[in-house]
Amino acid sequence: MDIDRPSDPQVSVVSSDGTMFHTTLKSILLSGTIKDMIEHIGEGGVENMGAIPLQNVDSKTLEIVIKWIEHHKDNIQPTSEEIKDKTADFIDPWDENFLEMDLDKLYNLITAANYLNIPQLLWLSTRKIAMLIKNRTPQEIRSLFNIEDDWTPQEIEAVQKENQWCEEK
Amino acid sequence: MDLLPKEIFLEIFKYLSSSDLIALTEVCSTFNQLISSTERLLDKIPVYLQYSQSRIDLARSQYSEISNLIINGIRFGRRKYTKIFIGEIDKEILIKISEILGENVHEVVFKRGNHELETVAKILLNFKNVRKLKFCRRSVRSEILQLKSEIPILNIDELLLENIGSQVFRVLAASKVKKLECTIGRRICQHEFIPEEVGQFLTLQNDLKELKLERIAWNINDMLENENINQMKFKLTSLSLNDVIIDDSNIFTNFMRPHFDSLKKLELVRIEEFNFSQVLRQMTALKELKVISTWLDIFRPFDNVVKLEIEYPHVLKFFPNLKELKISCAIFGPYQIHLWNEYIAHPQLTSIEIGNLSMLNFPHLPTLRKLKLKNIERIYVEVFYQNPQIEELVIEKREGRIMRYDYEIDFISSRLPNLKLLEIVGGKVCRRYLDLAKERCKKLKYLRLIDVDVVAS
Repeated sequence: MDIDRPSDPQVSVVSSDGTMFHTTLKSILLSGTIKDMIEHIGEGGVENMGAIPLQNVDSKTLEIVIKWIEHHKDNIQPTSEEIKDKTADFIDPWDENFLEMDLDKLYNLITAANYLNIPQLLWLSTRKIAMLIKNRTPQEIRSLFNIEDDWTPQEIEAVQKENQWCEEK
Repeated sequence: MDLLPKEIFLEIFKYLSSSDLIALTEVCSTFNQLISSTERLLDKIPVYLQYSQSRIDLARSQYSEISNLIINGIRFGRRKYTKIFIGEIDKEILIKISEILGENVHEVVFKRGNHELETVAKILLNFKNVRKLKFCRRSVRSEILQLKSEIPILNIDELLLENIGSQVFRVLAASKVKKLECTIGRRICQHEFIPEEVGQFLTLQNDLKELKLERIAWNINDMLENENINQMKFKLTSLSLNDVIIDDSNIFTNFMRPHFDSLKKLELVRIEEFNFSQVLRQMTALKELKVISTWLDIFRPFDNVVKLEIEYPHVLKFFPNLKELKISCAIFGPYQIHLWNEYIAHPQLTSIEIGNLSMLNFPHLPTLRKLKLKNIERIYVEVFYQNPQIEELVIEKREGRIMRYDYEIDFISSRLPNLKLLEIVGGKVCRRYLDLAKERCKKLKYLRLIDVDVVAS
């Protein structure tokens, strides 16, 4: 099927909680998962295929994802291999703004980007969390992400002792 | 945070440095387990085997306790460290640790500690799977003695020697190396680094592909003797010579002969009094070439070379299929501009980096996408007249020079509609023009300002 035709037909997707969203083919094809689905429906056309159900993404998250893919639909997307090589590249200011959201939303976004297979979005959102972790103490990380301290005093002492060998003095 | 699956955590953790990963191991047991069991994260956390100031006391008073801990595998039992830095540490403890960590270790760096050659041999016998090995200055004691102990048989991808005597080759005589880098400064004296020992070592290497010799402070011919050369069975794909002396061109040509048809990458930097032209002419497979401060006359075209780094443009016409070009010095007088246009007109050139560009016109290069102007005093905006298709532009000003870019940014953004990346290094620019550029260049994704003073007016 020719998915590179110049026109950009409308496509609908349905979130896990039943909300329908409309977007364009070009945008939705940024998702590797949906691209695979569409490539397999064969002749019959994208126009007639009906709404795509996305059972793993709720409506709030899907809205965010759609906002991102619509903004980036004309940009060339790096492949997962290309993303593996980059470490601290420059971030588009639009994306920087876009990622200003609370952690719960960010987690949901990561899960969705992973499920939908959008490498660039996954890279942006995981990197965002990595940036929050950078240069923080264990206690700060715990309170930031609301993680329970499950060490016994003996265990944490053993870990700290071991870690002493990991720093150049 | 338990709503995220393991794989996502691993995605996040891979962007973090060793100190962040260390902090994460103390956060909770889940993170600790995750990091402790992931080889590629542990690759980032090196273990420093050395006594720090605070550990020395501990080592003295509770010496037996420490070695017990290590021997029993408590300290290194849980995580399987793969990267080891070796500093000042007791010989016995070091050997014990190498027994415990053994086959897990992929990378070993001898940082300091002035270790005996025997010790190095003993611990490398335990690190059977080491793929990357580095010796730094003063990490191994220089000894004239022959080794008594057994020597390890290793398969090493990368061997790096930095200001260290050639005695380490004795430990590695039975090992196979794919890439060898020797950087020997002038501080290493003649009796410590014996060039013949490198030559000897090379005769044992059948798998060697890449060789880099840098600042070998004496004659490279000491390393190569005709009888040695006949025994060398490897075939190089990459050779880099930096600051070496070659005085017998026959021996050097003999050394190079087997590699004429395999060498893909060649770097020659500061090699005086040797004319490479003869040797270079016979290299038929060459794809990448870098020549800086080295005598070179070129008379025949190199059709295969796609990547070239040179100082002056006059040899450019012999590289008709270039895709990437770096020129450090493109200074032309007004009467030579037509020459430049001729030199640079390569039909496939996609990326150019130019230093000291000082001319008023620039030909149309249809395939050009990336342009980097380095060390410039001012921007000759005329460069962009002919090449509106440029997608990536980097401008780096000459150090010490005060520059303001307002007019240039205005001009660039109106002339280069396809710009995706614009990087400016140094100088001053008004915010208004940056906003204007963002507005005009619809495809602009990356605007990088490094050391740039953005002012309001």
